[in-house]
Amino acid sequence: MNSISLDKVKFGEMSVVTEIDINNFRLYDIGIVRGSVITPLFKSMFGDTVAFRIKGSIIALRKDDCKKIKVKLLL
Amino acid sequence: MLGLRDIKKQNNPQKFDFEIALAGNPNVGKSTVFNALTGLKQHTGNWSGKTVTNAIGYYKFREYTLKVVDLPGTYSLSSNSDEEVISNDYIESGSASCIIVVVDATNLERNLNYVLQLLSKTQKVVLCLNMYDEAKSKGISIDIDELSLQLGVPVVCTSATKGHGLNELKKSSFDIASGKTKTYKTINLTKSDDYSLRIEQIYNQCTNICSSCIKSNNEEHSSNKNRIDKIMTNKITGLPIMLILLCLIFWITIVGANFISEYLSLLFNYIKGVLYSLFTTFNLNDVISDFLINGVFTTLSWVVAVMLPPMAIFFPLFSLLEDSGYLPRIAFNLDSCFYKVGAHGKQSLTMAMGFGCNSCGVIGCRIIDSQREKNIAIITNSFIPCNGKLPTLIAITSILLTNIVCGFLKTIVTALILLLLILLAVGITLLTSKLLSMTILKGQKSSFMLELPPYRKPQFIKTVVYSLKDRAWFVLLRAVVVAIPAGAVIWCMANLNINNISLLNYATTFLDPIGKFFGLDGVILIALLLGFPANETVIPIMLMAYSSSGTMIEYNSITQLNNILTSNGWTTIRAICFLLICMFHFPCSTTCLSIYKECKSIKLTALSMVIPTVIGLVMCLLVNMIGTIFI
Repeated sequence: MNSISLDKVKFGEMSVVTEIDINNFRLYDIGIVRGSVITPLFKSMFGDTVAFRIKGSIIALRKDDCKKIKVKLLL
Repeated sequence: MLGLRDIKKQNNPQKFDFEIALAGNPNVGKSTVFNALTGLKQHTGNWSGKTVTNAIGYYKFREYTLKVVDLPGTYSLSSNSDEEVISNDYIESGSASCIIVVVDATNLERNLNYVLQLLSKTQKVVLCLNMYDEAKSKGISIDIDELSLQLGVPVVCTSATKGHGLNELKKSSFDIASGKTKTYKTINLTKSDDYSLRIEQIYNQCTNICSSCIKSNNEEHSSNKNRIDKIMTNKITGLPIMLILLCLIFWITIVGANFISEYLSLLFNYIKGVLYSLFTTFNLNDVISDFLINGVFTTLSWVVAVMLPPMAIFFPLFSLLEDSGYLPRIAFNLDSCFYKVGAHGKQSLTMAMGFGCNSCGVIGCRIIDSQREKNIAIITNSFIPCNGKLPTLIAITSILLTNIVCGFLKTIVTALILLLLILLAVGITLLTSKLLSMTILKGQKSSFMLELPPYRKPQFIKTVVYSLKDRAWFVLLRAVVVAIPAGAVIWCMANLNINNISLLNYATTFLDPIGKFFGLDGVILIALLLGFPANETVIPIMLMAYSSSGTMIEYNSITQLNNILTSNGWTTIRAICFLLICMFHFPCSTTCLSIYKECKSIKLTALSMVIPTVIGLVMCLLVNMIGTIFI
């Protein structure tokens, strides 16, 4: 199964993180590590920021950063 | 280990038997637990040498006194930020006989990352499973005994907002601190140089522990809460809701503060009368009496009467909004605007705080992690008019509208113009942020990550009381430290004469040509300069200079103010220029001090003073030029 970037995942679809191309410690601390399940929930007014469910909490990320996270869809 | 020295050497060192620390992620109710344990017996300050808040409190258990240290809320215990370094240093120092780690029961897996990191450093820990009631109502069922077994420490279920479980928590932590209960090490973490790998492996353990301890997890319930978020953040309803909420808070603050200010003014006038008769009875020298009453006391009463009411209303409202969980949604919605100018979405929140008080807004910039974006937020914070400037802006706007509208319509138009001014301030903030990002504060845009906690009903009374206590203390302190010297200086300027002309007169005459060049006059310039300690005193100083009375006087009506100003050469253009320079000039002394404390750079503090002033002067110049051409 091919990996796609996080910004291409549809709302409500669950996926598993396979690769992270961002060097921000906080992302790891919050649970965005390889193997975590991540689900997009809703986006902001202007559409550039998206809220995801990670490990039971809601975390908002920018679309530009989402392009650097690769995931595999959970079917 | 500067932070430790600060705790050990306190202003009022109260004797205690055991020292306990509260640790955990942000948004888990740690403050609520802290407040529930210590009541009002707490003191908030800073960790020495750092700009991170530290709170210390005390509570009694049986006949023992326990000291509680509130560690900063962090997602991890590595050394990637000031907060983490402080927490780490403190934990490894062994100062605490017991560490209570507060965990959000509705979010156990993510919280366990912190818990496991903590347990790898110390076993004298009690796990406080907070928001337990909320978890139960969401259908989350946790096997407490199994969790306790796997972690090797006692687990106490609490619902701090309801007051449940606090006694068990006190007992459990006492038992650990006194050595009655022994804990054992169950957690082993791999040491790896690759940070992401290390956290990945910790999360693997978290997932394993959760799968054996969490019995059922009903995900469907959360979709209801998501529905609220979909309304709060979508294209059509998100912006109006936000604008309406913010306008409502501003409106309540302005109207309520006005009301209270009037009564406070009456009170201070009464006290002034009392002081006067007291001084006369004791035959105090006239000059000294005038200095004390009309110089020092008048300034003091202005600062308190103008600043205390709005801060007493705005900040509790803001805290309620924060506790409800809505504030991060504002940052979430507005992030795009700020990202495009090279800033951070959270700047929207610091700007909102700046409306209450610029100094508080600057301190609030701590919520922005990237230093570059924090600096942008700090420098531009004073563009947003604070509560101290509002009465001035409202009064002059009222005067501008005197012959145009009146009555109820006038209040509405005044409000609209005020809204326009604030929107102008926001626009200038974004523009300046963009300019700063392209020039002096060039750098990488940080990767944005914001937690959106679930909406929760705030504890109204407790939040309001705590906020009031903090704010009242801040204003009164500022009133004493700033207003008294300022009042002394202003009085001296107005009453010390050389050749029968006061120093104030010399100053205004000297500055007059410069003032006129920018569409203002010498009096306005000197009032802004002397108003550096406290913006609230600008109009009283102006009136004092115009009337050559030697004392700061209040105006009893807008008509009276209008008369004084027009008889001193004020035109519509000058009034507009005054509004602009009032909004865009160097921040007040308290704010400048906060700026220096937060960024520890004289260069940035100077920029924060120069940039707004330059913008204000340029705008005045333009208005003056355009005005004189067309009118």
